[in-house]
Amino acid sequence: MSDTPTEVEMDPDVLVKTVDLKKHFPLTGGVFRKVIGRVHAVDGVSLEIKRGETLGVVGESGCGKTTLGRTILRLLDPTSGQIFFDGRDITYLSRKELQPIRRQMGIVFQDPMASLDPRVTIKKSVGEPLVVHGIARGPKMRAMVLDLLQKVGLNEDHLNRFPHEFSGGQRQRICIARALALRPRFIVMDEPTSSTDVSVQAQTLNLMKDLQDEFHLTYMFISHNLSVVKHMSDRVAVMYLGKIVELTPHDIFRTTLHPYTFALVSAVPVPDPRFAGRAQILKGEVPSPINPPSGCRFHPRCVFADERCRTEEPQLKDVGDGHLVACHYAGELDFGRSAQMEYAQAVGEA
Amino acid sequence: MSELVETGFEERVISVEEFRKAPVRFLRAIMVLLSMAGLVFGGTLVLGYLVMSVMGVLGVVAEMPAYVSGYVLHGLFVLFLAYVMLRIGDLLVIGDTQAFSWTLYANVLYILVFLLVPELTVYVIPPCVLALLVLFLPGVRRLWWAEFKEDMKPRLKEMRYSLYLVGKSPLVVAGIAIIVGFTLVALFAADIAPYGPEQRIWEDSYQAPNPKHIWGTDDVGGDIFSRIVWGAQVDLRISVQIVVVALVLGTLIGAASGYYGGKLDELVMRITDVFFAFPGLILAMAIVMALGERSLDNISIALMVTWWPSYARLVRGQVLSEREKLYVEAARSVGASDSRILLFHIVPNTIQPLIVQATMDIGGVLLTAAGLSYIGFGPKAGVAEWGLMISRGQDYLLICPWISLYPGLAILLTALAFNLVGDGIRDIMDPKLRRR
Amino acid sequence: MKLRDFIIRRILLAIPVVFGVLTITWFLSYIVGDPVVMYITERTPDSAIPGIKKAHGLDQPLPVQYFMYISNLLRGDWGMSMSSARDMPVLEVIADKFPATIELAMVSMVFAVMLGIPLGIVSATRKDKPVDHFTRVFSLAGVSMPIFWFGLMLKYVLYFQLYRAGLPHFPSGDRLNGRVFDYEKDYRVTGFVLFDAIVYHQNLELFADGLMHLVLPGFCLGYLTLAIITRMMRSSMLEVLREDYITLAKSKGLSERVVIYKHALRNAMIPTVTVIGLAFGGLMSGAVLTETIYNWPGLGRWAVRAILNSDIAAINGFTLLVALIFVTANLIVDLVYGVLDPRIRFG
Ligand SMILES: Nc1ncnc2c1ncn2[C@@H]1O[C@H](COP(=O)(O)OP(=O)(O)OP(=O)(O)O)[C@@H](O)[C@H]1O
Ligand code: SF4
Ligand SMILES: [Mg+2]
Repeated sequence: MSDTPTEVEMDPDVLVKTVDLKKHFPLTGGVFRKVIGRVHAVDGVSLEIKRGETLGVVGESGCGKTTLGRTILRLLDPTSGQIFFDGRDITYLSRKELQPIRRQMGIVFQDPMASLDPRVTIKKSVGEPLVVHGIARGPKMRAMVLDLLQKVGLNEDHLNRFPHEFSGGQRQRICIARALALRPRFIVMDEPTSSTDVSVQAQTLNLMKDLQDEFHLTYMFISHNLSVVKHMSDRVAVMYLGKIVELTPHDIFRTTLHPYTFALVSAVPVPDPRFAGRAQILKGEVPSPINPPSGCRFHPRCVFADERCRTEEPQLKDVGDGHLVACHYAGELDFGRSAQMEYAQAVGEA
Repeated sequence: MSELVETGFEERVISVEEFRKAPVRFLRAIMVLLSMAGLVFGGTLVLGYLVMSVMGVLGVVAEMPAYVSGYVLHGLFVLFLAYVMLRIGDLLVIGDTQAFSWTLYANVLYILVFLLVPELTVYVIPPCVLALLVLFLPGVRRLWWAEFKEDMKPRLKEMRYSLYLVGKSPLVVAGIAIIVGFTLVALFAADIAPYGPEQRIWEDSYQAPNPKHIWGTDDVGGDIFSRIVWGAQVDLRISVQIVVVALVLGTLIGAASGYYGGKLDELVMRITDVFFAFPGLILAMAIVMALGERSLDNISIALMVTWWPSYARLVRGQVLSEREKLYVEAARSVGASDSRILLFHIVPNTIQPLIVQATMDIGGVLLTAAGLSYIGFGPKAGVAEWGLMISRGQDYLLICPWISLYPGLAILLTALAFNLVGDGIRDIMDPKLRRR
Repeated sequence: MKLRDFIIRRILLAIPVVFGVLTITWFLSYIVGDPVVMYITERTPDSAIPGIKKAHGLDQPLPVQYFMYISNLLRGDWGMSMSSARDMPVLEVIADKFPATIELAMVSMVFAVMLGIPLGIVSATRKDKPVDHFTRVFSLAGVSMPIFWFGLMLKYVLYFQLYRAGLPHFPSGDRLNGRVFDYEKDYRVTGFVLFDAIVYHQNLELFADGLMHLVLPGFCLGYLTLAIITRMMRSSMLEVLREDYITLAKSKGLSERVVIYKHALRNAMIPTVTVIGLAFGGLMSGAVLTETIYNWPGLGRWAVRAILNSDIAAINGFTLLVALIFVTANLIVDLVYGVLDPRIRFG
């Protein structure tokens, strides 16, 4: 166990940093349950999240967003690569050494019902982090939990209820309260609004923004809803088959340099007849993360793919203004710029 | 420099210093003393049992005393309680308000456990009561009572809702009534039965049911009614005892197997596979044979050995599936330790199917034990045990059917009651149906 | 997992179980006393014992004895049983008595399946109606019934009371009316009375008599299985009826009947089939008790007699046989389940 923090040259503005992070799940099969393959859920992700910002992560289902979030928080042990938190290498810390660091980060899971113990009251669920870290018990814990619940718009009556007595949106807010209990600096929000309807979604998103300002939080915001991500994030990372293909500080609806991002953007339904049939729909299925395609992972579905794309893997390169793209022909491709602009407007109007 | 603690949920605040005041310290002292007593007593029981069994194996003593397995259970339980009390004592003075409610539970359990040991009752119960009194002194009470009350509220609400559901199901109510009835009969057998368990009234042999012997008499003049009443003690006790021991054993093994996984898990699963290869009655038969002597105690041991694998399987499966649940990961994400996750999250979520299974199994075990006794594995002729009574009656079936009829009804009714209750609470506890 | 891999894995997993079973029976026979009693009877002269010990490897160290035990079993030497009329090798007794037990078990199984599946369906489709309540209590009573007492009571009512009232009644025991047919001497071919009567003798009277004798023991033994099948059928049917595709089928306007028989039944049958396989173990336990009550010349009665006579070889053989049957039944059930329901393969 190397707990000597490897001080890489790190921007003091950066709170979380990963270097070539990989997480593979072994796949067993056959008569003796041998390992017959590996799911490349996260396959070489390098990113930085600055203090106080929100990094949005988008991608199709199964591309490894959740796995990335869980690995960064060390809820999963990474297969290789490095994770830095606040300048410290936490990749190989033991559970005990992680304990103080756990206080500084939290996660809100995709499914709020499943992430609350059905037999534990809300007071105890939200108070658990306080008890575990020896911060408060008994009446003091209760007071702190009440304070948290009020912050997310719940009240004293809700303290002694069980999860099944709440609505989906309320449960989500309970989970947010629990993630906040330790006053962390960094929270991974895993599709926090996927299980609620649009109006509740808007409320929850605004609540999260308010909380971010109040507690100076840094968010990693995972979603496959591009509009929501755009609304929430300072920068957006686009994932495809375990890799980041584009990371942009700009509006992804307007300036996109990667064909995959463009495809995603154009797949967003727009209530405008002018665009009927014009959206560039993604062709074919997502390839299996067990045997990802050679070269550029997107090449089987990319209309611009050529021989180079099939053999040589594009690196994530800065094309200016901190806009990173992993495509051999970044900036050289013509998706029909004007179409894109019109489209972005239509989305904006919608 | 005292930390402030809010309490009572009004704007009242108490300093941690209050937890160090005399009454709380006194409470702690009582807990430590009680804990010592428990350690000594429980240790004696368990050690004594170990020594006895070693001597038994070496042939120093010919026979194990009856109900030995009951002693060990009792001893282990007391040891466990004593340990818990010791820990509570420590928690009391660091300002952990939860420790007070645990003090309450622990003392009540202690009183119950030691009521079973008449020789020690007088020494142990007064300090327990004293502790409870201190707990409710106004100065101490104000430290924990409001919180306790609030924590109990949701539990009571759930319990009331469960009771409401139970009340709506006549079959479950009937089952519970039968079980309670038989338990009372067993407890007060001496007051209910007009005759002794092995009393023979020769001149009354072969009598059909009549006012003097309401359910008739058998071939040697034993009163059937009285013998069934006395038999309730024997049959209920061994059924419950077998299930409890198998449950504890199976749960420990299954939980370890599911939690640690790997080689241990593989081994445990293969062993249970082997046990599952035998139908229950037949494996039990073979084990009683191997144990040599035919007796109720050996039937108990055989059935405990036969039954634990099903609990091990159940618990393992449950632990495996709970372990993967998101709420476990959520607890881990805030830094909860493995043991905390196991104790506070996985175990409570595992217990319900286990209770259902155990309840139904009491019926099954009763049937098997009575069956073994019927074939001739049970106690010696003359003992009031239902299975044996049926086998006694079969030779006179055509002339005196009542000798077999009533004990069989008793078995059927008891087993049915446990099955009704198990079946009913499974539906009641089913979260799919429970959601309001 | 591929189906082929699943089948191979499941069969491989059965091997350690069989070894475990052998180890347990060996261990038990060893605990009871000197294992040489398996191979001798009261009539064996003392002077012959050392020779017998040597022949069966009982003078060897324990591990060697263990392998000798297995190899003896494999060679068909299961020891001598002394609880039949004359001393016989265990395997011969088993061959002799096995058909009677199997015939009884099959009849009870057929009875249980024919009655249990419709009962379960009716109960599920009329949930919480009087029929359902009745069926639930009926099947719970089956699970709670002490078989040995049930057998006695059936005998008392359906044989003795009917007989005393001068009504037609069921026979109280045995496989055939001994005064009319001597099965062992005149009719036995395969050992299955019904089968022999039809196939080899074309004797309807013999068949009818055999069937009559099967009614009470068959019902007594089959009630538990009936109860289990009914419960399983009811609950899996309820589960299936709750599924979305059933609701969908109903909303598309398919009639209740078509929904139940075409869509739900097929899926609800899968768990029930497996229970039927597993119930075989219960039947073997039950046979021990039923055969004793109805004087049925099968393995169960022989086993009880063996126990009362401390006939170690017989008990050992019986336990082993039942376990092997049960292991095979479990294996078949699992394989069938794996073929029918692909989800199980990923367990
Ligand atoms: N514990 C696991 N064991 C094996 N494979 C896993 C495990 N967790 C995730 N995977 C696989 O890793 C890949 C990425 O999963 P992940 O949950 O990270 O996707 P996601 O982007 O969050 O998808 P979604 O939008 O549906 O939540 C998937 O192919 C998934 O099947
Ligand atoms: S590298 Fe080639 S295949 Fe990959 S996105 Fe760019 S153009 Fe398409
Ligand atoms: Mg996800």
